[in-house]
Amino acid sequence: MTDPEQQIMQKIVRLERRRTRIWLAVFWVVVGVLVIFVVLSVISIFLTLRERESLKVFDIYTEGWDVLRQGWFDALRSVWYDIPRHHLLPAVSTIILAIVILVLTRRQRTTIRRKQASIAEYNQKTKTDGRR
Amino acid sequence: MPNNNSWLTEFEDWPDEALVLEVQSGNIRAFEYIVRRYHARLFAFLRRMIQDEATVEEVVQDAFLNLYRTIDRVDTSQRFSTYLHAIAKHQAISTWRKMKDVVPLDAAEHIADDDPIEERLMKASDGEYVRRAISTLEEKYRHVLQLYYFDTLNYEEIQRVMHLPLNTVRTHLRRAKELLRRELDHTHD
Repeated sequence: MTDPEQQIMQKIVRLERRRTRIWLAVFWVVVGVLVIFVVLSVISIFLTLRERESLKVFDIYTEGWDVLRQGWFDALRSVWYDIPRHHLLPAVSTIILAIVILVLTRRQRTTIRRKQASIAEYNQKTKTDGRR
Repeated sequence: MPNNNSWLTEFEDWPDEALVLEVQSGNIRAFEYIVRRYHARLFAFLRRMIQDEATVEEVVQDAFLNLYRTIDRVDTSQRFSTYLHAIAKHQAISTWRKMKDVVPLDAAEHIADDDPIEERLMKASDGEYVRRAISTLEEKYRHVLQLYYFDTLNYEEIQRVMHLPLNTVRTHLRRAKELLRRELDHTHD
């Protein structure tokens, strides 16, 4: 490869490395924000249930198989009604949004991985050529 | 890890469209092969438009960078070299506007046609007089002349590079030859 051609490829690799890093940074920030939101929502729901002592109904799970068999559904339903909707709905929506984002970006993420592997191979090759 | 030889020969026999698809899927190594395949050709193409070689090299580099940036939009059902030439031409025009320093080179050595005007160009012993005649043409006529005779593009390819209807390309070429003939006759008198 001539020197001008190598210069072109070096610019291309630098461009692609920058673009890939920006894309990944934006992707992980978005996913991170969504995950943090879901985690905070779950913690908030848990704290609300604990405050209302709603989770005490699960004590039936320690009271033997017969009690559990009869009352497990009522226990769950009781907790379900106590879960604050203003925390639950945004959390569920966020999980759905995160899944949609992961599905929609699946092809791009595959391409990004290939690009990163390609950049690494190119850098390895230019290092090897440099040593000769 | 691939050895140096396998890196260079991996894409050697691949057609342009396959290389473009490979780049679109994330393989930058395939783009390296596009650069190797077209660098000299683009350099020669732009050398006819821009005198300074360092500037030509810059424009070639920018053209490849623009190609890479837009590679996802390349339609592989169309001829790739036409698209690349169009990018290079637009990059050259953008550079012209900044520099305003364009001198077409001697055309005679590149012509190989039976048209009378080409015979005259081939017989012309003074490159300066031919160069001056071509440089008097309007930009659109000069372009179509260069693309047809120097880069050996056909009408359809010129149409795609210049984004003009086919009949307009034919008209421009006919007009360009006519004007060039008149200018050469006038200079000879």
